[in-house]
Amino acid sequence: MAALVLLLVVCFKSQILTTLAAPLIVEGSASFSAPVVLLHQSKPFFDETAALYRAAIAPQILVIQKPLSRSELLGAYGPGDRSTVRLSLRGIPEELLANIWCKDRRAWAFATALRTWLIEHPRSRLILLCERFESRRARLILDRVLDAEDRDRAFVVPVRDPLFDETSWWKRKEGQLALFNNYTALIYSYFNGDSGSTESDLNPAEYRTLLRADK
Amino acid sequence: MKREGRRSRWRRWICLAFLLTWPLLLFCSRPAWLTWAAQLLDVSNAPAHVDCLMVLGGGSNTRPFVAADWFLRGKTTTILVPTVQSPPELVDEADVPDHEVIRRVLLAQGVPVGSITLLPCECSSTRDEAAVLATYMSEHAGVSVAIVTNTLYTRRTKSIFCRQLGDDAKRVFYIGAPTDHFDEASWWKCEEGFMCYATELVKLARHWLSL
Repeated sequence: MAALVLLLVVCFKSQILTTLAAPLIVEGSASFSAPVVLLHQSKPFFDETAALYRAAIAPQILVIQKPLSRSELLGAYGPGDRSTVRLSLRGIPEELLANIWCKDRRAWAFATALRTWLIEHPRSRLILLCERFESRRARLILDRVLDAEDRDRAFVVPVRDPLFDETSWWKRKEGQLALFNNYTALIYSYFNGDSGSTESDLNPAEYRTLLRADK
Repeated sequence: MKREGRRSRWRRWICLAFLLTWPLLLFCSRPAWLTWAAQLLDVSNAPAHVDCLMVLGGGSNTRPFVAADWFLRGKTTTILVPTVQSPPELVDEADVPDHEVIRRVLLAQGVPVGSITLLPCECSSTRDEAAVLATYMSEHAGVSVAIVTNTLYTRRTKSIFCRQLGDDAKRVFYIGAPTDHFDEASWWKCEEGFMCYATELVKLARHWLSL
């Protein structure tokens, strides 16, 4: 019996592992025109946004902006807003871009910012671009934070990671970590809700003081 | 018969009490053992002075600040920065590579450009960084190095570096950079801290299993 189970597992390993990742994913596609919200500022997201713009789906791009980190405060990432520069390089006019500011760097802060935006734009819908394995959690957070009548106006659309997806995550370290991290984050979010400090990161001088105090 | 029936009933009650009590005790004492689990990850052993500091890739919001502080207090004379390699599918032309961010933070904190050495050979993991340091130490005999990484990563980092460096590992030390908003005594109270420590505990277990 055990040998049969083992044989089945070996033969259907890919299907089993793919099924393991499936609960993390909320499928969604952007098939209507609505402002597109960038949850992350990285190449796959910029590429997807540019594709949606070219398909005339994205009349406006909203970029989630969090308070600057210490290294950003020192200008380590260069002048100008990263998103504006990278989206402009992909042919998206600057006037289509708008920033949605989060008041702190907590994981749920984006949902609070989107809630305010939806209240200010009562007839608009949103397309939220997020990582594929993160989409279930993004939907959970939106459902917890948004008012009941606004939940149907925010659509979660997962962006495919160029390195792995649900059919290949086990082949790469990045995929394995992404699966573990997103399951852990989903479970933590489900049971604990919004958590963490609302204070900003220490600025460079404050961090130096902390280091000296530690000695 | 009656006595045996009573005894087995007592045994059942004792088992039930035990099954209910230990999870409750575990739950009530969680600050203690969760803190202990986090402290296991920290093996920092910062010396008074070293020849070089090596700032590991990632953590550009913490590690280069610690390295700069060490340099400015005269505890080292050289800061080594490994060249970080990111998968080309994830990198934009306009992106600033991680090692360049670290270098810029060091410069902005007052570290002279001549005191920063960018190590050749691109690294995509801690193992690669250990290999690069092994090469550096073989070219600079007798040099002492302190690795700067976040506090919770020091145990796994030390294990990886010791494997690569062999005898040279005796001259390598570990400096833990503190994180904002959470530490060993509070990591489970916020999502960011929970994710960092939970992931690191799993990575450490995976590393030990692969040895």
